[in-house]
Formats: sequence, C-alpha cells, structure tokens
Amino acid sequence: MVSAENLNGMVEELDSAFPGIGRRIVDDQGRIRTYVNVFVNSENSRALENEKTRLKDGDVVHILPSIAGG
Amino acid sequence: MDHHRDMVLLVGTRKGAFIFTSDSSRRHWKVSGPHLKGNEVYHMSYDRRNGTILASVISSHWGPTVARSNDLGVQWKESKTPPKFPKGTGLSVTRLWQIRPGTADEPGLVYAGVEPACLFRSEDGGETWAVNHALLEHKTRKKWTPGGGGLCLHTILVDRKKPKRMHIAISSVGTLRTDDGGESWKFQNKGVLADFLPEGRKYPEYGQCVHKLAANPERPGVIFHQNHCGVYRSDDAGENWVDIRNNLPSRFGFPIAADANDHRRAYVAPLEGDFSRIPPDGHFAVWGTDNSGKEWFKLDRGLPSASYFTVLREGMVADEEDPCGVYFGTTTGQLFTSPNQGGTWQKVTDSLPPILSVSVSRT
Repeated sequence: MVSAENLNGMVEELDSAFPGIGRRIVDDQGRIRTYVNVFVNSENSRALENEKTRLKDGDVVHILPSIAGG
Repeated sequence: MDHHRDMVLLVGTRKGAFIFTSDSSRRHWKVSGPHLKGNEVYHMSYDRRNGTILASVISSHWGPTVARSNDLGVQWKESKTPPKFPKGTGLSVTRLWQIRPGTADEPGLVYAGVEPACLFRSEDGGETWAVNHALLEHKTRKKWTPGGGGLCLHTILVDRKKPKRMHIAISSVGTLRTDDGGESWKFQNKGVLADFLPEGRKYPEYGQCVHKLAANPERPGVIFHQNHCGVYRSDDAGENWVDIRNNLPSRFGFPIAADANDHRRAYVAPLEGDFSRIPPDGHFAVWGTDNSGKEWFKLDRGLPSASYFTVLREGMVADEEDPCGVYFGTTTGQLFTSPNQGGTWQKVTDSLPPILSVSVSRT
C-alpha cells in the first residue's frame, strides 16, 4: 500500500521501504526501464503517462519484467 | 594457509561470473560458479587491499550495479548506491565496463568506467559512488561519438607511483590523462591514427578509436595501446605514441596486455581487420614482443590449429608473477592460460558462456 500521487512517487516510496528496488524499476533519470512494464489497473503505463501516470485511491499497480533476453 | 588459493582468475561472462583459483604454479585451476547467475558480468577486479572481489553486474531487466564479495564468491553484496548520473543530465548508466581499485596508499578508493562514457569514484570500497564532474561536463563531450561497442569508458590505469595520475580510454574518443586526481583531463592522442576520418583530419586531438591500454605497473609511463587503426607504445606517460605494428599480421585487434616483469614485453591478439574480424589465416594466436614492439613473435603452442576465436577487449590479461602468466577467454567459452609468458597454452575449459572479461591477481 502506498500513498503516492503518481508512479514516480510510488517508486520512491517503495525504495524507502525496500532499498534497491527503485533502481531496478527506473533508470538514473527516473524513467521506467526498457524491459520493465508497469501496469496501472491492467493498463500499461507506456500507454498512459509513463512514470508520471497519476494514481488514485484503490488503483492496483503491477510491476512485471517484460519478455526479453538472449 | 590454503595454497590452492594463491592465485585468483576472475572470468566474467554473459551469464554470470566464474572464479578460478590455483596455487602459484598456475597449472591446476579449481572453479566455482556461476556467481551472479544470469547477469552479464562485464568486468571484475580482485582488490588485494582487503581481499574483495569487485564485479560489474548488468541485468538486462533491472539495470547495472556493482557487487562485492570478500569470501571468493560465497556471498555477494550490492552497492548501496551504484554509479548513477545526476538528475537533469538526461544520462543513465547502461553498462559498467571496468571496475578498478585505487592504489595501496588509498584504501577504499575504487574507480568504475561506464557507458555512456564517464568515470565514477567510490571512497568506501564500492558501497557508494560519485560521478567525475570534470568528465561529465567536459567541454568537448557533445562531440564525442561512440564506437561499435557504444560510447564506453573501458580502461582505467591508475599510476601506482603517482596516485593522482590516471589514464583512461574511451571508444571512440581516445585516451585522456589526469595528474590531479580527476579534477582535470587532457587528451593524449598525439601520433595516433584515425583513418576513418577525412583527409586532413586523420590525426585529431581526440576522436581516435582506442580499444585497450595496458601499462607496466613498475614503469607506469610505458603504455601499450591497441587501437582500431594500429598498435602503439608510449614511453612518456601518453604524451607521444609510436606505431609498433611492425611484423604483426594485422594492426587490428582488441585486447593488449603488459608483462609486469619486463616493460619491453607485451601481448596482443590480432584479427584480420576492421571488415574481417577473424584471426589471420583462420588460426587464433597471441603475439608477443620482448623488445618494446620492434619485433613480434607468434605464441600459439597448445592452441588449436584451426580456430576462429574472438577475444574481446577485456578478454586477455597478464598477471604480475615471474615468469608472467597470460590468460584469455573467448566469446565461444574457451579459457586458456599460460604460466610462462605465452610459451605454452593450456585449455582450462571450453564450455563457459561467452566470456566478456578475464582478470587475475595474487590473493
């Protein structure tokens, strides 16, 4: 449960609670990493406003690694 | 004392790290790994000041970080704050190409070279990192162009005799030196060809495609240089470079290693050329010189006669023992060692993942 107003804030809150998780989700500039997908209520945040996507009470966020690699 | 751990050979691969240990003979190696499983391990260093292995670790999903182990890989700890560009620069670290301890007089000091090209410094053994602002804000930075491997700072040579002096190499920007601990940098590419540039610009101040530098630790002013466009040596700490290709079968290659016991001795691994990156005549060989590059000789005893090995820029290294040991790993997973200056080669394994780097140290 987080109280942030957008995904950026959510990542910061998560990183305070679980140090090191933030840099796994976003890069040095706070952009969601290429092979990480963040869904807000099942909608990919890339189709919304990326890391600036706003959050409201009751929203459900999934953070999932994408299909990639070799 | 466990003599089987006198020497440590650190092998970074595309799928994790492997740690080989041996006694001083360097003929029988025990292996552990994969460590940091599934991650690309671009480079590792053994920090003799405190017995710590430093590893650059890149996850294709979760980004790059630094991991450290003080028990030869049994346990690993990530940096609390890995190398990271300041907000507002628009830059983000994509790879850590090299990680290198400072000198014995500077306990805790560690350097990392990253892509996009910059240098980071840690004063607490790799726990937290700070960017080098003189490079980040270098007046020429906007004109820096990447080589085929990206805009990477891939080589850090710390001068053991003058700790404030350091050489770095960036593809394809060239070599730079600091004499004030990284407060300022000057280009050092005099005499180095960039023949992919137009006529009249083939010897620029910067823009050369340096592939690797190697220096003798006891004579740090003597530096060997494998470039996209030649093999060079400097006898004056990078102020001037002379072409030492001479009888090598090609000027092209990636790694270069220096013999710690003899500043006239170095090792290269030639490829046919820029547009044919395979060993000359379909036979991989290391070539050595014992007279500062005036003449080169083939060192292939024990290597397969038909071999299309690729050895990346961080894939070959020399130790500081006497006689010098030479080591190389290939992108097809073979690891070869020589305890006698390349005189004979022994295949330690031929079944690792693609090898990105080898690094060796006495423990």
